[in-house]
Amino acid sequence: MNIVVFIKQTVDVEQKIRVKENGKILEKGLGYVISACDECAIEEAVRIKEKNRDASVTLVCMGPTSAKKTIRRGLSLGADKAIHLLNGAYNSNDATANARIFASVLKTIPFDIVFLGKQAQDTDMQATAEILSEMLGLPMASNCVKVDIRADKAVVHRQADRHLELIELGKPCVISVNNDINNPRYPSLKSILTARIKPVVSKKPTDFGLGEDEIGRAGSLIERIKYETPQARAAGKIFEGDAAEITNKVIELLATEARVIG
Amino acid sequence: MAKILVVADMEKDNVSKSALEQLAFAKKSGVPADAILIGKGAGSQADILAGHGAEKVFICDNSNVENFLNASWSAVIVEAQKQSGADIILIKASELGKALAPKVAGKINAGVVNDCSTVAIDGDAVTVTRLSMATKVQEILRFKSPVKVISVKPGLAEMDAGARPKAAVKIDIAAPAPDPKNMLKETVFKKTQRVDLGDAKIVVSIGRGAEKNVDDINRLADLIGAAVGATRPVIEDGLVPYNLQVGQTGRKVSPDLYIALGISGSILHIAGMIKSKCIVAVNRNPQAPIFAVADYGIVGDVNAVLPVLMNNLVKYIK
Repeated sequence: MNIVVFIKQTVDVEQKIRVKENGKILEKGLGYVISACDECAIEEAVRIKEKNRDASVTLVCMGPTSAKKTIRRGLSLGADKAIHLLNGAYNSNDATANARIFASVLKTIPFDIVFLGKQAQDTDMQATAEILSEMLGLPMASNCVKVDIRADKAVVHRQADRHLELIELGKPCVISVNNDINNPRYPSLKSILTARIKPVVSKKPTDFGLGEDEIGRAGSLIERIKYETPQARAAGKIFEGDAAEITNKVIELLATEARVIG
Repeated sequence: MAKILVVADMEKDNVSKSALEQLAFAKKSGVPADAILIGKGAGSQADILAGHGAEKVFICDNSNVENFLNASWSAVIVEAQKQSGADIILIKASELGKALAPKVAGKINAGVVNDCSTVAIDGDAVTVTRLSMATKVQEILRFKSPVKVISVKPGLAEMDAGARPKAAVKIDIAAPAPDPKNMLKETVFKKTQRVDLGDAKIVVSIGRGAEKNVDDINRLADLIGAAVGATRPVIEDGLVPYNLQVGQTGRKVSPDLYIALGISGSILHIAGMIKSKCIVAVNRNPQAPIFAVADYGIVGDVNAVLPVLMNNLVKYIK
């Protein structure tokens, strides 16, 4: 069984993020991490591999040279090999342009299950997995919190708005996972060392038969005009002292000042 | 000339408020709109959508699509878009809508943006704004594709509260046959009579510092007609079901009143509730980051504050 996991290196959103006057992000000093849901996708793939001796896990990571760090991290979690798509000039924030590249890669490698994170931690968009499945005409479920791979199908639990959906997908299929699906392991020193010698192939997005006008900015269906700093909330009123007294004070203010009750 | 297709969903037995807001937005923008309503009994709501301004109402009233499976819903929406000729498709940015929007876009090679707070239509040019990077930045995006699929947060425009139902121009759309390779086998609802997180005017949310008070907090929620939410650690501890997680990857809520109990305020949690109209935070630690976003902060122990809320907050609830 061949499992392919698409992963992305993103800005660490825990840190302070500043928008420059020209509407771009101040990148100096920013730290990068593997996107949280993607790390869970790798963990899920590796757990399946541990139960199926014939299974192999391939990571596909599109990003700059510095994304090597994220690829090695993914390999240290137990994946077998990786494809690094050096997107360089073909960098785009459009899910369609990126999904075209991923679809072209999948036409060249064998797969039974394709995992992606539900959304990337930087864009919070959620679109690539869904579009990819449409491009390939494959069954797909979004936002999964449980995955069970059987001989001919995948049985997944999808977290919907008010309920869980139990869905059966014929193989091959595309599954996007929520970060509630598992807690990724901490790689051991041995697995970190082993990860260094696992095979990583570097490719260009154009290596899989796509034209330059289909990907990158030229192939994008949306484009970012700029970033802005969101309007901050006005400073609040913080009360200390006797619990009953300050709680009653706040309740009163909710009715008289904020007017959200009463 | 632009034209909008509103993808209306049902909340219990009624068309959602969000869909009516989207129709009000179309009217405000001076753009004609059709609507599509999917699900069992959908036909009964067509006149309401027409009353709110939908020129045509596409109906797919069929049990094959009654439960959400984005495979079948997206095919129905694509068919409605073809017949309508709309170039802008609006969908509510729920868990359903955010999965559906890119499926629709993928089928017709349209551009897609999820989770938009505003939409601006100027002739054929469509620009949207949305929060990203755990709500730390706002981005402004422009579409380059002829057809645009946009999922929008609640509150896109004020719905027309005075609108009266009127006879709709109804067009039936057949549901696609079920796909054996993509089958919904079962839908599991948690047994609760409580209002849903997405619709609630008040949300009471549980953090690590209130884990011992889960029962009382549920009682408080019932007393004041609130929904209950929780942070990821509380969910992981198994005290509250998954679907009540508020945060970057859980539910994003924007109630009138959000009461954060024992929540320190990680950026991932704040990303899910920052759009609330009024935030009350209760935490023992005066340095907790939650106080930076709170309109009213109570520095104190949840054990001491909760009984006061249970006794006195209820008096203000109609």
